[in-house]
Amino acid sequence: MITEPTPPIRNPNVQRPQREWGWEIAIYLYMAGMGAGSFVVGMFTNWLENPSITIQVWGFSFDIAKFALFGGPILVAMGAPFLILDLGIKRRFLYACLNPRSSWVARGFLILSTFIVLGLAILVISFFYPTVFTKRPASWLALEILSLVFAFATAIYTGVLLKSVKYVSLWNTPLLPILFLVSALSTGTLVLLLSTLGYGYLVPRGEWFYKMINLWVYFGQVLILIECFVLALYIMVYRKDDREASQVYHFVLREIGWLICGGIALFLYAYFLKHPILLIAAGLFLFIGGFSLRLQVLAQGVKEQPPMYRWIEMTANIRPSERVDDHVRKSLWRG
Amino acid sequence: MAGVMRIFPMDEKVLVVDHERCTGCRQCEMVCSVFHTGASNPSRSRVKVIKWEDVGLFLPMTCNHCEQAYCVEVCPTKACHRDPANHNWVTIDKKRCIGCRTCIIACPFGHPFFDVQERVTVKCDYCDGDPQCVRFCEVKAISFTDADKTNISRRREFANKFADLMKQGR
Repeated sequence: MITEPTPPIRNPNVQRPQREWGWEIAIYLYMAGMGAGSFVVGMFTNWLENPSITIQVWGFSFDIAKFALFGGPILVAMGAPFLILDLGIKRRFLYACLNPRSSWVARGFLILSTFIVLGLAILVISFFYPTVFTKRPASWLALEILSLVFAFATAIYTGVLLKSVKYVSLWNTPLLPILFLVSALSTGTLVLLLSTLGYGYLVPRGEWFYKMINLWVYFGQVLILIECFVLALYIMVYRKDDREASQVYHFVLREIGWLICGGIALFLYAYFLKHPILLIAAGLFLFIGGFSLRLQVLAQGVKEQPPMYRWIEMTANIRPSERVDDHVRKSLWRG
Repeated sequence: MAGVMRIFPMDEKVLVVDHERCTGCRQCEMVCSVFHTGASNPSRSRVKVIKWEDVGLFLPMTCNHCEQAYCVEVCPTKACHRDPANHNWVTIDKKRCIGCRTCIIACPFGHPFFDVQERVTVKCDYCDGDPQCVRFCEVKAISFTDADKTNISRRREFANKFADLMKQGR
């Protein structure tokens, strides 16, 4: 006799991956990380090299190199509406900052908002008043440092938000914020690389162009190596039953695959063939890898079994059967 | 102890579930949804019956009103809060809820539910002190009892048994 299967929500033998946070939150985390990462790398580059491309329009001078360096807050601002899109009642989104004492969603709202405001202030001022970098008053330096702190906080927050969920063992590890931070920096570096590459077609390529590209190619290579290392640690630390561990193992391997492809493209560019197509390929690999990382970490988030389920299974001698339902896991990300 | 599942030392009374009595009829879900939404729609109920159908075991899951309530901690809007006017129960203010579902992710028991029609998160509020699931449960699998010393001893007994089973590696 064929009976109707028990719906997953009522079936204790199916430990469903969370379905509350989907692709919208993945985009929000990804854009926030990428924007903050590009701002951090851009700020350090500015301190080290201070690249400048000044153009004259109607007698006013604008520094378009700074637009590429400090464009990160725009990406963060573009990602933030995806958080609102995920809300049940979107018009109430401003309420999301009312409990910063204990809620990481509220803290993130405040951190991201502050970073967007400070970052955009830096972007606008540096674009319209490039002389600020030659004089560099103390107030400007304070603004730079403050915005850098908030950029770091934004990049690491995306991992801390997930880490704060105590009953999803895949998320509740200190390695996750580190992984998201490194991933944010690597994708941010590639944003700078590709935007500078784009500038190279618009304005004459001077010495600054090759200097910047080479610097970020080296940055990218180092960050990819660190990210591979953290991902490997992540899977080594993660201990669950065989079936779930193998799911996570496969997703980590796929992520390392994207990173290796991006790393090879950067390596070839740095040492063999200085062709822009290699940088574009590296960018594509790392962008897809960075987004896939967030999406997969969200999709693989399975809550631990409530103790009362375990109690009943023990007392009734029920052998825990399938713990993770592949079918449910796949169907989750269709819609 | 006949499998008494969950008791919580909140103010005064708590819901106690006996899974060995539950027949899985889901009457509790039905009356809960009618009481709270006016519609007979179990998917909008604040209680969910979990099923081990192959062995005929059922467990109605309700909110535990935990002492350290993670749903209260993670709520960004303070919509999920303790209500001092109502025995300190954990309640959700629908007018403040933005439907971010963070509380659902944070709860280890998977309790608060997202109401797809109202677009907010909802949870058991003991029906303002008169739980309808208790009233309508024919087999008395759910009871609303005092959180007194009797319950504490039962809870201790449960914890000891659970610890023994864990030690045996079952």
